[in-house]
Amino acid sequence: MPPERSNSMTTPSFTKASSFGKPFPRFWHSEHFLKLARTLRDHTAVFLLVVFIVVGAFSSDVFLTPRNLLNIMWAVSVLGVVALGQTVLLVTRNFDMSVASVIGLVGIVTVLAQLAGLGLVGSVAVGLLTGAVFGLINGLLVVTTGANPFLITLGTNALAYAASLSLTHSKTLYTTVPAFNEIGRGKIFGVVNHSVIIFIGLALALEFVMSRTVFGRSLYVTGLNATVGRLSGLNIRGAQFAAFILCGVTAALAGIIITARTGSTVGTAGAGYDFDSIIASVLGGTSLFGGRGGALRTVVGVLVLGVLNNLLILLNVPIDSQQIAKGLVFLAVVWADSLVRHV
Amino acid sequence: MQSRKRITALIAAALSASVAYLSPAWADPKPFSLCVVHNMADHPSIAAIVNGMNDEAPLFGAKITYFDPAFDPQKQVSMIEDCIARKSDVIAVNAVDPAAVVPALKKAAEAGIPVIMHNADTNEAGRAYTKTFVGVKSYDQGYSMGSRLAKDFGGKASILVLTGKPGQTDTVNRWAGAEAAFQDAHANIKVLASEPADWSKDKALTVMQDMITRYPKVDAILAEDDGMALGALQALKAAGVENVKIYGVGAYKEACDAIKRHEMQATALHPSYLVGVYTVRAAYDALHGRYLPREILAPTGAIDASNLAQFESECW
Amino acid sequence: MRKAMRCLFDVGSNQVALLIAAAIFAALALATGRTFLTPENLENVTRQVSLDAPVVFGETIVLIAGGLDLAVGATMAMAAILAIGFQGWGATIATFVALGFGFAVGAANGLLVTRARIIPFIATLGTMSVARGVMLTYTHQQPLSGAIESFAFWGAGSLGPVPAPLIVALLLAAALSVCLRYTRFGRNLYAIGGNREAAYLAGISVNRRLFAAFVASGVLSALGGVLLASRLNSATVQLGNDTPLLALSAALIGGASLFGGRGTIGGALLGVLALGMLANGLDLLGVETYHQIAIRAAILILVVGADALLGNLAKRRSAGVGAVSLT
Repeated sequence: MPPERSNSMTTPSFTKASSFGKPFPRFWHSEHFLKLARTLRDHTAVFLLVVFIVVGAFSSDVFLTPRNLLNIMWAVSVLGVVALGQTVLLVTRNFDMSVASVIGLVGIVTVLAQLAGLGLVGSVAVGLLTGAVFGLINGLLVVTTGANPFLITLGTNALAYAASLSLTHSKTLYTTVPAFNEIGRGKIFGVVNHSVIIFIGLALALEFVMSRTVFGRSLYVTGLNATVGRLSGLNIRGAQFAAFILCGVTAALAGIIITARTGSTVGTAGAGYDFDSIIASVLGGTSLFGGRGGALRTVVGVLVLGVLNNLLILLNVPIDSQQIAKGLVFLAVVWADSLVRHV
Repeated sequence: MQSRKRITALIAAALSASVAYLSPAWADPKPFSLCVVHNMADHPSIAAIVNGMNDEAPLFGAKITYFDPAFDPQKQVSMIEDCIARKSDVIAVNAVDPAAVVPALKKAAEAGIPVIMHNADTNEAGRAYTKTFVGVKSYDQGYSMGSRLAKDFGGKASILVLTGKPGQTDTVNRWAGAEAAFQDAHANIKVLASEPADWSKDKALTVMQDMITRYPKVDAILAEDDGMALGALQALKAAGVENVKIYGVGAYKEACDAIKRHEMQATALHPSYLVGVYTVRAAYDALHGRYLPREILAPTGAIDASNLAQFESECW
Repeated sequence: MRKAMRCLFDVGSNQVALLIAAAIFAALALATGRTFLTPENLENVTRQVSLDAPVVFGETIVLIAGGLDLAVGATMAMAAILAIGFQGWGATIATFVALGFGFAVGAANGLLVTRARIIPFIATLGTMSVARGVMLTYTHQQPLSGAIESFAFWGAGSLGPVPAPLIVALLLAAALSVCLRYTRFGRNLYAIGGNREAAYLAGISVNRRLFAAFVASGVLSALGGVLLASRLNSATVQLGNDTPLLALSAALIGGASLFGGRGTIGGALLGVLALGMLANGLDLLGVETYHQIAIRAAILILVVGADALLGNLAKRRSAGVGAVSLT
């Protein structure tokens, strides 16, 4: 049997509001505030998205043009793919910080496969397999030891980066299969980019799997209460492994799209995608504490970030304080999350 | 201004390819150890420097060990100290932070180990402890692209700019050089927008898509390195925008190919390979107490379709 | 196997750390052909280690109380930046501004954990992100430099053959050890980390103590940043990116646990010494960068994984389900 998650602070006994702290309710523990918090929390992303779109429509004449909207979709599709994998993992109360370096590594491995003579399908398969292997390694380390997934995947992140460096010795590699580049550059009917189709398709597929299948439900149960799940005969370990592998594969997919877009590799191509994918998921309404969230919510969360970035450029806004805003939004959303959870 | 005159002279020299730092190739075979502390950081430019060093090392009997502080100034200082402890004969440093390395440089000087700066120099205080700086002036690169752009458009153009990470030496200096060139040419260059793309091709691609949506009628794009220029090129292709001239810096192999296809207008030479070669030579000279100039600059200048054939070997 | 693990576990954390540190020391002394043992190099190592030590102490204190602080690196970097940025006001004021920032981050962490009841590693991840943002905005990503001459002593100076930061680190270690071992505050932290509910029921003001632990971590990280600024005579946003992982690895090697209730300052000192010697040794041996990255990553995975296995073992034993095999 797998051991319980290690961090003692997440055990139910501690999180009970009655176990310690002052007994009388504070304002933000009052019923009204909680209801408000939950409503806001559930619809943060939708609310923000509407606000941004209204701001954009009034302040820029190009914002609402079809081309700009397609640009936004195109720009967010890579982060979106990563965030979808991250969402599945978050639902099981796990994290994957290794996506940052797995993205770069997969790009490198894929191009190396092409240089070794493999074609479109072969090289993509090798790339996806690399992602799956890293997902499996993460899963093995976290599930068998019960260690904090955040720290373990920071470790495997460094391993993936070391692998990238040793494979390329800092040299840039160029793709050799023109059909491969079409994954990142081509458009269906000359309008919608392939990567956008991949992102939306993946989102719909995952939404279906997560909400309509037994496997999907077992993901939620794993995050909510692993013991109950195990006692009711669900394969909790299997769900965790599957989520880790899936997250590795989506990171790989993102790496493939980035490489196909630029036609060349960099080991640091995925820098920042770790934190950003978590922020996008959490913003969309997926809980960091497991058991809550969904693929379509993440699509909205990703769109919020994408529209924001697009607006900042269209309106020529200096981006110095963006990082502060990101951190504060993260804390606010997490705070709301834990409030809702403690009821 | 004095410096501008020097630059003009330098560019002329670069184009005639006559500037070269020569050290005798009949070096005595006695091996010496060279400690190189630089950021690998996955950048092809550094890979080219390493190639230059590795190719030149056997000619001068240098045994090179590389250390990578990964952009952490604290680690760089520790690593330089570790090089001193290893009793390296010479230390070559690519400064992460011009000021932060100074104490370590001082320590090396006190231990009697000559230090060569390469690629990124230390500050005024640090120069007291170093023998020379081997590198390319990023200001000059910006200047050569700026004057090239002004010339191409007869002094009147509206442009979009992609910069590196805000605040970094190359980001600041390349833009300062370009602006100075615009002024010297009395050109009326209108900067419609300037955005950082953090030296990343992928980010440049995304950012440029948005910029070109906002400003579809633009004459030229000036990117602070070729990676970003190539990202911008792809954004233009995707958006179906044509007749925009793109200027980069660095002479990436991919950029040279794009110039050959007339997809990019020009790039500024950045002979990283030569920087590697010169660093090994300077290390040899420093070890043997020979005179070293304060700066050993690898040449820079504009590469375009007309002179590409001459400089193609310097693309990396 | 399990018995062996438990033995190792029960011998006492300091002995394990001592063993690891001694093994690394011996291995390097042999492998580097005495380069490692030269006085100059030993001075280097102790100086490098002393600069990291305050941060590791802070992390250890939080771990003892059952928390985790990922903001230590960002706090350290921002403190270094403030210590340089406020030099115009004099070194003393600059130092206090930096320490004040550490206090503020620690207090924010403490409030988020005790009042908003966000689990520590997520709360501190958030404050880390905000602190990094403040840093980017404050510096515009430009390095700051130029400190007063006298300020450089604390990080770069020496008293005879002894590096000044080593003296700071040792004094700090002594003071914190006494504090953890002999004061009520210290004993309370162990109690809280060991079993929070029991501690609460025993009348310990859990929230106040936890808050204080996070504040201590913030101030100690800031102190590390001040020493660093003093040594480098400059500061940039690039500082401290690896620090949270280094601090955590060192603290875990030193006998602390992510499960709380365990760990000592002495062990933390040995842990940071072991990692510092290893980094120095790998440099002396000329080990390639990517191998060094991989080795550090493997150590992190190893200590976090082992901590989880042992912790779960202990928990299971106390819960009476020890019969289930882990392997």
